[in-house]
Amino acid sequence: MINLKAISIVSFILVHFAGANQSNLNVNVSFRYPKATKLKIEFYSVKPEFTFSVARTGVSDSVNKTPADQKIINKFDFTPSKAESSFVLLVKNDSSQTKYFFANPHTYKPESTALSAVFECLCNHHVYTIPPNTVWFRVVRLDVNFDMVPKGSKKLEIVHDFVEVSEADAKSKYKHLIYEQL
Amino acid sequence: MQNRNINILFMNNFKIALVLILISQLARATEFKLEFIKPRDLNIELKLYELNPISFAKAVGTQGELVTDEQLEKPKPIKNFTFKLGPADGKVLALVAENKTAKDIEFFVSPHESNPSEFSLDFKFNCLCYSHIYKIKSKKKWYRIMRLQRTDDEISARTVRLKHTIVKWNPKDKH
Repeated sequence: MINLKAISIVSFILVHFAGANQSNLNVNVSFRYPKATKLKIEFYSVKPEFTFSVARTGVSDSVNKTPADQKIINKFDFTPSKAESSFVLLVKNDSSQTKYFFANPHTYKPESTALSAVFECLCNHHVYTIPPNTVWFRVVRLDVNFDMVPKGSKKLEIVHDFVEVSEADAKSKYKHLIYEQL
Repeated sequence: MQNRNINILFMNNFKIALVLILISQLARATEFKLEFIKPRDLNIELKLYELNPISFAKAVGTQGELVTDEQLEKPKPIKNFTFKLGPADGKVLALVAENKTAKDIEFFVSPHESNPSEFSLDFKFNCLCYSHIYKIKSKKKWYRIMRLQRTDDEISARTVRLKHTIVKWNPKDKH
């Protein structure tokens, strides 16, 4: 009787973990920066009350006052039972000047995984503003569609090019593209 | 006689102004190079055409089947998928793909990469990378109408490369 119970537990664990491994997908969200910029995107978990506030964007004088919770790394594990994740992108401007930036539309590596995930991110043809000594934040969401993940794929990378915009350009040619943030 | 001279003078000045505008527009033009990377086992032949922007303005973003390329109303072939656009210029384009094989082909296109990346707010490219799967029937031609439109701002790059990667879609290949 005990043997039967032990066998069933062991087989459950084996099947469960084998299945989970087969369906796991690791998503790496990365940004490429021009040499001249000192701005960097940081990744934070989202405070529970802001989990569904996707696209909430603003600036604050401290990280604590934003939807950002704990600092995290830019790699996310997904399984069919946990196929989406909200988190916060954060940029600190420690300088005494207002900074402006945008993100070029993201690409997928390898390209064959392009239908595997939907990323509600920050690349929406707008320019963001960070006043001096403030932090900029945006709540984003990553959603994996396991039905479209190519067979055998375990990893994918979502790449954005980060572009810092000069104040002159932000106030002239990109004036109509400035994002209305909180 | 005096009127005739004034007319000739006016026409000459007008021609000179036109030439100067053309030269200045050419000097400010940027070369756009469209690249379509396809896997070796994807047997489709791609062509790029410039279309009449007035006739096809409302067709941007549509696709369909062709018997001959001439159905696109005197399409102008674009060599090497490369063309120049000055500030505020735009082109309506058709990407034509021919499937010469005996099987239908399904594919999608990964989001395009712009290189250099910092000018992506200075143009709009209504292309074909919208998370859709397209199908070209066996022995048929397929087209997609696209538009590349520059804003009236300068682009300080000689060439902007827009790279799309075509991915063969086979439902059996999914996870």
